Amino acid sequence: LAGGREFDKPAIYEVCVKGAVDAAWASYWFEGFAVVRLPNDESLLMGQVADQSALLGLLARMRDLGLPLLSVRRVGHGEMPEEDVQDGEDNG
Amino acid sequence: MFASGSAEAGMAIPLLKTKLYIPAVRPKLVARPRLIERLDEGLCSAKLTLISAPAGFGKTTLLGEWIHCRMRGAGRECPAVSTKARATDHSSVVHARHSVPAFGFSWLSLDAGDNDPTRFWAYVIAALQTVYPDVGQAALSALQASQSRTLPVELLLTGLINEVATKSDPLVLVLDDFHLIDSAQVHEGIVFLIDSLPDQGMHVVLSGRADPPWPLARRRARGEMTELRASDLRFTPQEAAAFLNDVTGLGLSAQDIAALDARTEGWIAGLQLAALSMRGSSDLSAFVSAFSGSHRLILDYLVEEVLDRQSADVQAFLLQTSILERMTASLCDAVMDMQQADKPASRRCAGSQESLEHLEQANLFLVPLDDERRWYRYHHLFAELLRGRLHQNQPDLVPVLHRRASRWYEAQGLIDEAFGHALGSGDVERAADLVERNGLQMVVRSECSTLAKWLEELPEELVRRRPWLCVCHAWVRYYVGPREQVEPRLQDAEQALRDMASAETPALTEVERRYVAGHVAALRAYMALQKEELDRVAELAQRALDLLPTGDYARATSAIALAAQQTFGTLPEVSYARATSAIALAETPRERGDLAASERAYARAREIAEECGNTPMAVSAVAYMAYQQAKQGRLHKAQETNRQALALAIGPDGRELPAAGLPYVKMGDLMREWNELQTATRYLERGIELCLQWGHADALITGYTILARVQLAQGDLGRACDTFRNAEQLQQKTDVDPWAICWIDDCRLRLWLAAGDLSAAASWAEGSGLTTGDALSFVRDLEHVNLARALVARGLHRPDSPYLDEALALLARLSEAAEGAGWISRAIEILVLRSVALLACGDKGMALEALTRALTLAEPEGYVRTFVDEGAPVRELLGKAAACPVAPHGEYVGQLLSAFGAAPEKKARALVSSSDLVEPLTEREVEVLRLMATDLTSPEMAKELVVSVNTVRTHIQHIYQKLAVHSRYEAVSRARELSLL
Repeated sequence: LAGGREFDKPAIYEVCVKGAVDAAWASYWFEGFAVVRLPNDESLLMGQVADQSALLGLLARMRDLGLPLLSVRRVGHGEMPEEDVQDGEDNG
Repeated sequence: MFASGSAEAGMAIPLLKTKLYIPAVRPKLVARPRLIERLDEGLCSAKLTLISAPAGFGKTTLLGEWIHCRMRGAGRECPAVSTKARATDHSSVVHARHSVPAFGFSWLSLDAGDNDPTRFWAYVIAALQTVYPDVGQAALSALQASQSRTLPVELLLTGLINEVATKSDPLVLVLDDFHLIDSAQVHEGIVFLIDSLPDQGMHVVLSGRADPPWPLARRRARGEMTELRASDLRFTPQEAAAFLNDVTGLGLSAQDIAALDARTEGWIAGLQLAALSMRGSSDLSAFVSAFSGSHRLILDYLVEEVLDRQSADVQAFLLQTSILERMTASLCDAVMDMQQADKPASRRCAGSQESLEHLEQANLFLVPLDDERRWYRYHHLFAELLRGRLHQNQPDLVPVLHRRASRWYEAQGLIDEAFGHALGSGDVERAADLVERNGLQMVVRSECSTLAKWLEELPEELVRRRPWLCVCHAWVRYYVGPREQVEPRLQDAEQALRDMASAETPALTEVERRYVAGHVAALRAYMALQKEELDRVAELAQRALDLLPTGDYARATSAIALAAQQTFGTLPEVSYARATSAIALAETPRERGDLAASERAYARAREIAEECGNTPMAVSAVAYMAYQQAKQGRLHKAQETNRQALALAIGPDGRELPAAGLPYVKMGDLMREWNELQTATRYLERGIELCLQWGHADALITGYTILARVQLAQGDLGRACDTFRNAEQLQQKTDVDPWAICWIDDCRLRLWLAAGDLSAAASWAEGSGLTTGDALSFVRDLEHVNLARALVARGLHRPDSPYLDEALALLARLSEAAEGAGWISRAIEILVLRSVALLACGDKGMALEALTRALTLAEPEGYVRTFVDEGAPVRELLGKAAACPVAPHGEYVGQLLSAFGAAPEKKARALVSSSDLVEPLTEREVEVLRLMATDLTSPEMAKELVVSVNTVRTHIQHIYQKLAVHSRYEAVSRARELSLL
């Protein structure tokens, strides 16, 4: 099932990938996403997607860049919160 | 019903040859015998090979190497293996033993544009034709015919698969970058193709960055699929060593190799980039340790390293051309804005060609796309990285580069690419211009999905502002749906025209605005016909004809052609709408029952179509006229008219046009009526073949239903049911016209009754929503004849029921209407049914009277099947008629009775209940039987039951045997009779 209307709305996702992603570099590929370097050579990308299609597009881009995916998680609804992304622990 | 067949010339979908090019093998490669062997085994053991791994794992290179090995020597050892094989490598030994038969290899590199099913299958066929030039010609012409959008692809593929199966060497079809396909329709088609392939004959290889979105676990579990995944494709440490030292000649120490291999984990693109970075570096070990110690993303790090080592010119070239999917020197010149033409010829060739050759020699991820070194592309991953860097460093340059690329592509006539780059440059007005200039031509070429995609990518506000875009969108929605969205777009077009009329400098000239209005009227005429608003059809179609240019105004047309050419294309497209309106107009009087006027209108439609150079439409007009004549009871005249249509349907090369399918089918129907069943079969088979090429769903339905009736007349119910299923499938999968549905109902009803499945006929009649008291429709007159037939059949079964009286009342009204309209053929059919009903009521005198009237109408044109098809009651009545002392139709009745004698009697069924089955059905078989009553295909049933297609087929065979039937249709009917369902 395609899910409810809830998923047509913007939501905030965090995607954890293997590899040290450079913030400047990511600003082009994953526009509007904040990058947090994690220990163990992992990076956490966090930002807003418009809907499920946008999320899948983002994941396809990670695939195309050869970034191994560790986890994808929805962390909130609607717009990005004011406070910045906290430096996370190992999220792998 | 409309044969919007296009003129023959220039309608082919433009295909890029480079997409079919099997990648060349670089002279120095790491031999990968272990993978080649797996691919060889896959060819022999399964129908599908899936290569699924992220970018940069060497998928395309491996496939290229494999194919070149196989092509060099089928069944022999691969040369690359023997030269590279080490003593410890046992796989080469295994490989040598393993004999692979000769295969023909075809290749297709996919891109996002191939999500248009028409384009996708056209490319697949073009790829197969690189091996066998004669396969798929019918399917390709069907795809390119105007109405192919309405044909289910399964129908085309079945023919294609059969053609391939006749070839001596099996085919391999490689679809590279399959992850770019996200169209559900294309996926369905591919699954159908794979499931329908014979065990030998063809093999499909899908290669991409992601698994296809269909269930793989079952195929995997049953060994129906060979897979190579990232873990298989990674370089082993030995392969990495061979690459770094043998191929790139870097001469690294074992320690450095181990460090690089550990950092890249056998990821080939990483190793390649590392090797490129190290070339020319004085201290390799320093590089290796810096690289191994770096915490940056490998890609990011390496691309920067590689780029930094290039000269400024090469860097600029790499970055600026990275926006291109494919590159050739003149395109690169255009994008780099190198004005070659300004330079003297002697100095011209430098520039992009030289740069490309340099990049290829330097192994800078440049992939040649042909043998002549004309077309190239970057390795996908590398291109993506370059693009990222370009956006980062020179964002302002990006739109400029795209605009230049768009201009170049447009000048080459490659509109899809031109459109993509126009959008890339952010210049939506330019993108809209491109659609406007090419849209109608694409409608004619049936590239509706691509056109729809473009229109959806343009801002809605922009589409609404441009009347031609609205018209294009309306045509697209008319053909591929949703049809209810046609009218809103037509209103948008009209609003845009009104806005323009008040503007000081309107974007369209007055003449063009007239054409837009003409297209709007033509489309509305079509829509009105679908809704049976007949007055509007006439008015609108006439309006379209008035607005659109005719061949009479030579001066006007040349001015018009010039004006039209500038903004929207060439004259034939204007004519296209004009010719279709003429047919719509001719339909109107026919449906009003005014036969003479209808004939004149068809003659005029033919003239207009010929004026426009649209032969297929002229042929259709003549064939429709013949159909009218047959309906009027002038069968011999109809035969002559059909012959005229056939004579007209000859292409410039002397071959029959696909549009000849329609007159062939209509001829077949005449022969069927005259009981010339073998001749009828020949005409119908040829007609169906041509209609398939033509892609004309309604004509095909006519062909299948008539052929089914011929087979039924020959006493072969099983084959008739099989033939009929084709028509039913078309109805399920396409938007067929309402009258075609009546033909299907008519045929289905006859098959049910022949199979003795009265309950199915009864539930159809009850579910049809038809009643005996309905107002009769001229468009769907057959609908109520069908109802009457069902009522008569039920009445015969239960003479005490009111069915016969209801049938008689309805038949009386139908008879009056048919005779009043001059539809003699229908009147005869109704009278015969009436006589059957009267006989069942016990009123032999009245029955004979009705039959005699039918005989009087029928004798001059020699009708046979209309009488014989009604079976025993009519035979009985004819016997009585012959016995009359003054038999008015003596000789004719004698002929009819002998036709009965020739018809084989239906085999009486011995079984009446499920307990009579010799061998009862198993539980599983009953389950399968239930699915057979749905419209699921065998593969779909297999999916539902979680078993293999072969298992389902075995169950079906057992069911057939146990029920003593020969087709799915019969099985279901039989099961209903036996209350198994």
